[in-house]
Amino acid sequence: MNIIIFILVFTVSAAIVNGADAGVDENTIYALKNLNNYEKNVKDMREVVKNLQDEVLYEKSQAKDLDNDNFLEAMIEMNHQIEELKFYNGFTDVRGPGIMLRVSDSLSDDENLDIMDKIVHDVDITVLLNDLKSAGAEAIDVNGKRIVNISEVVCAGPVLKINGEAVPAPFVIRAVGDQEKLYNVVTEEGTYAYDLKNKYGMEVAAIMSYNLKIPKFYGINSENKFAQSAE
Amino acid sequence: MSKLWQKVMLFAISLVLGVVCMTQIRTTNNVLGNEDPQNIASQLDNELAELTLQKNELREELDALKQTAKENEEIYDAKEAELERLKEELANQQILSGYYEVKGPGTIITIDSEPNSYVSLASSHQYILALISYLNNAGVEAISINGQRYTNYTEIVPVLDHINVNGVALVLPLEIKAIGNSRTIDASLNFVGGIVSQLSQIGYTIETENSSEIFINKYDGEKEFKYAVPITIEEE
Repeated sequence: MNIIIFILVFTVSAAIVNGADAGVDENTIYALKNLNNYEKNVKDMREVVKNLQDEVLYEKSQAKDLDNDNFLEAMIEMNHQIEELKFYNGFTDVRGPGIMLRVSDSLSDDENLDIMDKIVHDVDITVLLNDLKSAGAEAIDVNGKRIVNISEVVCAGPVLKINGEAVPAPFVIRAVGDQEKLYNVVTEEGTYAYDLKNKYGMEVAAIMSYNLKIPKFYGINSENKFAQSAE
Repeated sequence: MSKLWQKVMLFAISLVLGVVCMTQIRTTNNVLGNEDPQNIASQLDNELAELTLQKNELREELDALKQTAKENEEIYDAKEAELERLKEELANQQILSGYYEVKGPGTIITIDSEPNSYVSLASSHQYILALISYLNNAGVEAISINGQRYTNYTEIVPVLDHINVNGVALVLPLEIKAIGNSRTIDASLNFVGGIVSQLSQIGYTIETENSSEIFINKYDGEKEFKYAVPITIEEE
């Protein structure tokens, strides 16, 4: 009986030792030791990925809608209006039929004429320009200086000042419009140009032209500093 | 007795051994779990590798999105700036055209005839033209004569004893409004032999009044172009 008990105890002890080992070798122990670290790393990484996903979603939601179509439409519309106004205001080169009028100081020997009456004055040019406008001129320049509503034609010693620049005689005025009307307004008897030529002996010559090119306004003061829209 | 003792001993030993044995097995299971720890480590390894890959991809995507957002912001800003520039240019051209009411500081010039003197406005129209020219010389930005806006196509035509401006008959007194720098306007008109003294010499009175805010009407006519055409860039 003792022998039986001995054998039984021996067998069971051996089984226990075997069971306790349970394949736990050195690698398993090492793996077990690092398992916690692994799990922590994975957990951290999951969090990093989650944060990045959130950030990507946020960036996508924040992406500005550039609204290209509306922007382009607004640009095109505004540019169209600007071009139209520029053409109207004399800020565009234009071409068309019209006349050329050359005016220069008098060469008359008439001693009854005052020396001041022999010189082309600023007001002479101003009145000629006004006459051309009243004859329907659509674009006018004097020696390449486009005449617009903010243009000045004033005396500056021996020359005139137009659009901020000195303009010497002879003055060549070019006007685009109805050739007949423009020609008549500077040649018919009783007109200002007729008197300049026939009363004061000034050199006044007009010719018609079928294709005049009038440059745009190049002023220095075309930006409004004082006036603002009241609408 | 000894047989009974033996049986008791056997029972006790078996009981203790059973308890020890089961405890051992449970402990092993608790420590190692159901799965092989190496398998778990390997799975975690794989997951970590996958997450790292995912992290890198997301990081790249985020960088690209941020770069795009930055570029879009720049494009957007440039477009806004361009629109702003166009708006300013448009406003400037609108004011110049005379088709919009404008306001601003400036000078109001009132021209009338001297008492007991007769002057013909029609025969003095060149003085009014000269006055406008000198106002422009002072850099004014908008002019009106008795409410008629002076535009690019405004003519001053003498008719009988009065003048027509924009086709509208005007008589004395004339009120000329000009928006600009009052001091410059004053200097441009009032020099010796200047337009004010010329007008005074022929029987007019000229009064000037500076104002911090002048309203100038818009031109309500239309201009039709029949002859002038714009030169396009290709033609140049």
